[in-house]
Amino acid sequence: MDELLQQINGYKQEVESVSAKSADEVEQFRIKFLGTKGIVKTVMGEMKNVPNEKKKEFGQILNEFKLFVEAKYESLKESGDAAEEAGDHYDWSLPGSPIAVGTRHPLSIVRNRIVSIFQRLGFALAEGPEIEDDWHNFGSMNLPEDHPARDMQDTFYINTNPDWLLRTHTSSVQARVMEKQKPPIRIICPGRVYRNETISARAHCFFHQVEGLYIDENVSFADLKQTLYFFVQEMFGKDVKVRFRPSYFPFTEPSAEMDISCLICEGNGCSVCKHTGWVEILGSGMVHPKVLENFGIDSNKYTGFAFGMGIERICQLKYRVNDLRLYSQNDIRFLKQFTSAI
Amino acid sequence: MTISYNWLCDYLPEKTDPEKLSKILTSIGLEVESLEKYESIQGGLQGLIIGEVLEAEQHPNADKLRLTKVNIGGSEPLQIVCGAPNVAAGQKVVVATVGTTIYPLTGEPLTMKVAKIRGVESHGMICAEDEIGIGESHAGIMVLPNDVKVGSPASEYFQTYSDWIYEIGLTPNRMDAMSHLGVARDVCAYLSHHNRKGTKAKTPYTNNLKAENNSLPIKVTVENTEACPRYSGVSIANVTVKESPQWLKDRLIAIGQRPINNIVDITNYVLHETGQPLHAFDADKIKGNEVLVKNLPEGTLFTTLDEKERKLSNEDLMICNGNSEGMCIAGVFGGVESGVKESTKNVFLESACFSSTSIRRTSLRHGLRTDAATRFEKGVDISNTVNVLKRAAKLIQEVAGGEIASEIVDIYPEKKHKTEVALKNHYLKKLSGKNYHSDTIKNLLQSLDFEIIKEGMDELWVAVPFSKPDISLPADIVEEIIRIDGLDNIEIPSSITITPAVNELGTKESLKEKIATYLVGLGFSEIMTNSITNSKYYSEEVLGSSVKMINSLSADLDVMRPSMLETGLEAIAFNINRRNSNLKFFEFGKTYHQKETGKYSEKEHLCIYITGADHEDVWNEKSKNSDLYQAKGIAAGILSLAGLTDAKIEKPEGNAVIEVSHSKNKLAGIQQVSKKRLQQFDIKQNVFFIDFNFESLLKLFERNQITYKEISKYPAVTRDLAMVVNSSTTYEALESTVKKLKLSKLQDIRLFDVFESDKLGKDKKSMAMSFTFLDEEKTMTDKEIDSMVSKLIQSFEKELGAEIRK
Repeated sequence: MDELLQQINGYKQEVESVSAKSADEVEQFRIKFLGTKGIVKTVMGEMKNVPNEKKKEFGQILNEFKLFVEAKYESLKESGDAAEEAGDHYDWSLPGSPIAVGTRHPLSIVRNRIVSIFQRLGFALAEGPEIEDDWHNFGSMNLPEDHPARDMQDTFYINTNPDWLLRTHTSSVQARVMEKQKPPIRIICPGRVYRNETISARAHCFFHQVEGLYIDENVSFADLKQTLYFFVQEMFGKDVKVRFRPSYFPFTEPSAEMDISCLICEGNGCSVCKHTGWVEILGSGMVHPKVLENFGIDSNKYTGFAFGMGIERICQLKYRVNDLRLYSQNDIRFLKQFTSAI
Repeated sequence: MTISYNWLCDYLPEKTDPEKLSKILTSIGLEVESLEKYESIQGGLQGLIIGEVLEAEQHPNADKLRLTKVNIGGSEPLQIVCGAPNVAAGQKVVVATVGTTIYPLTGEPLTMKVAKIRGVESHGMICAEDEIGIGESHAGIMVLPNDVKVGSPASEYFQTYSDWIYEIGLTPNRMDAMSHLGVARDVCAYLSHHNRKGTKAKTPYTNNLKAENNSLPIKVTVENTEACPRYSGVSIANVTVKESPQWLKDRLIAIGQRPINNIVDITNYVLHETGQPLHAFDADKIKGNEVLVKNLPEGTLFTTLDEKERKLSNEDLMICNGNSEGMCIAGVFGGVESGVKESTKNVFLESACFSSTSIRRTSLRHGLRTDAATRFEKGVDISNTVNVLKRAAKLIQEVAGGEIASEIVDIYPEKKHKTEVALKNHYLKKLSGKNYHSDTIKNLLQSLDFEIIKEGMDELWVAVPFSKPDISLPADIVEEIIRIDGLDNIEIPSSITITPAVNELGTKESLKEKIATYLVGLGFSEIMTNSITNSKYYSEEVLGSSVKMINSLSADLDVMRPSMLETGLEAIAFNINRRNSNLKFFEFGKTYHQKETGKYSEKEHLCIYITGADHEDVWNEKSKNSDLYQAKGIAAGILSLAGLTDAKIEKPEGNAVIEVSHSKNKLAGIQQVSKKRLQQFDIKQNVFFIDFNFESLLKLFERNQITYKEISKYPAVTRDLAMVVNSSTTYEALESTVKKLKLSKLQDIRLFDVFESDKLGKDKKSMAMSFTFLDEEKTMTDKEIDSMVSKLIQSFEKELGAEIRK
């Protein structure tokens, strides 16, 4: 009997000293001690050889041994799981599988940003054709017959007499909307426009604009300033400074251009702002009474403001893209730089 | 427009520094695009001093150098090493002292330092003409006359002229500000409104001009008063034509004008002072002492100042002599004969107003876009011709002598009336958003030369000065007020008023965004290509209904794209040529079509381009080339985003494009771009192209109504079948065989394996499919499922001659 006791103590020591590093080793331990032909089973089998008077005493010892081994197994399993969870058997530093990420075009990103800011102010989207007639692009917008913008040198014509052309600004969408909708009108119109210009870093034959128009009773220049000021702060951050300058557009009176403090030199003067500390970002004004009357809108009752900006220009200021050609070259090395843009 | 600060200051009652003036100009709508220091000699000779050479000896260590001592008026003479052979004691010279920056005629500016030349210190430099930018001579140092004052600044001796030059981006409505006086008037209106009430520009006009004799009377007859509503002139006899005095040349050169002679320079000077173009004739060339303002017969030849012979139109207004011979194209360009030359003794000076339409036509017809023509086109102040004439005559007398030799002629048959505008106070408030006091408005408008005609309760009647022909509406007056008051002084309201508008394009926008997000997530990048493209990409047939520009930029960009593929291929080729050949692109764009003149249509597309591999080889994944099935999968993804999973996909016989349609609407085409097409773009790898008709997609998407369907409580059961069929058997055949059975409980089929092998036999292949069955009402029994599977097996065997692999 003493022999058996000694044997059990030996096993106990062995069990004590086991340490398992992997799930495999834990399993080996289980098979050796707790398996169907394992040591615990074998030792338990010895009970039949124990004299009756000692059975109670030995039963207790054997039971303790069994519990001891099981407890060890549980603890080994736990530490094995922990090791597995920590991923210690992976080379975590290997590169992940190549899951591709694409990007929107920077002009889409900026366009969407602009549109969403104005949508927050209740502007609805509007669109119009790119191939326009003279009336919607020029005439109704109060551009006189001899305005230089009507020159063949500036505008692409599809046909003359009657004149069909590629719209030179998104103001034509204003015309399209005023034609079919009575005030109040509150729209934002992004779109592609064309100019007959030789392609270079600073000029292109097509680009993109966003036009805004708000007509209702009692819309004032102060309202125009408010809307555009809100836009600029949303677009460029709260710290940006704004200035309005009197300007001239045939379709607005009074007209103003809006400048923002140069984002590149923060107003200290650099080549982008021509050392003035200010950069121009959009044109705006109160809708010209003649434009309103052109669409049968009573200019004594209704007033309105309009504004227009170049998406490429905003993009240039935001991301410092300095060559207009990049936008339509679609070089993947260019596009990918905007993966994280919002 | 170029404006000189010095010049402008002549008319301003108070001194304002150039930077501050620049801010004022921009704030009142005369945007200063640049403000630059002007110096007649670069650097203005700052730091250069007149000195006297006291000693000039041989340099101890160099044959060609002299060692000099130069007195520049300081306590100690300077030791200067000089390389000029002509240096000698007693000479008066120009010295660049240590610390002075000199601006040589060519090359970079140079700042003087104490230098050791061949072992001897040199404290400055004795200058040659070209070294300080005064002249071209490098023959040796400049030796000045003996009477110059030693120690005085060289700038004093050379009378350098400096100024500040504003480049103003003048908007086309501001012809009133196309002169120094015009700008000064605006600045004074600003100063009067913001600083000191009543500030007015000082005008150079004089009433003190009397005919001294009547030795040179010129009779003027205006035959075409429509084209010439006012003509004023005067004769000046016995002038001396010569180079202009320095002050006149300096002013003209500073604003970029080239001095010619004193008479011509005065007309030019007064033009930039007042905005009124003038013309000076050699009075002795005016045959019959008579000026006729008239049109000449069509085709008459006339030689202009540039010695070009031009064929006149009978619509060109001409200034003619008594014999009806042209002397000058009125308001546009002078003639070679009648102009003022060195030999001219007597001058007839013209100050007139010509109609803008007539001037524009003539100026365009002859390609003569002169400064005078531009000004007449925009409209000059018709009330001012005589004032300007007197001013110019007076100046001519000052610089060229002579006497006023005729009374002033002034032909102004139909006196123009000022435009009158009524401004309602509430309109001003409504448009500007600011309350103005009526006195403020009156003062402000008066300072801009508006005349107050009468005042009502809520109304102000004003007469618009002739210098502002663009102003005719109350809104124009509002602009004048808010621009002088300052747009930045209009307060932004604290709360916002909006008129909500229903966003009809919301769905379109959302669908675009949804699809774009999906594609970006799959690794696609959005491109934007030029919608103006090259007609050589298209067949005659396609070009027949395409939209072409009359005035295209070049042969490469001559048509509005009739399809999207080509500009996308250009983008792909551009990238492949730059060693980026794994590309996944998409574009939302338009194509343009023409039925007949005036009937154009623009179609919206969503296009997808795939070429190359998804990625390069990586450690756990080999690269895989994109293929048609990938394109098909992406198309299917977009269809499910639009709720169109039941779209029909088919490939018509002989057509290279797989067509996707839904309820008779063509939705998309999927294709592998043909080799021939790719060759046009020099692309040597496969390109897969999906072209969605975005309008159809949107239309069907908008119809799509999602209704929740109960999720089945019972389990689905899956059975697999593998079969050997002829290698020509398509998947479509399998699918239609299944569909024909109309098994209501068959939920889904999935092809999971296709392979060919010798073991299967020649022209055979194995296709394995998985079938999913589901009964929404109950759990299906094995028997039911077996019966459906055996129906499938029978059909495959019967219809396709399939052999089921066990």
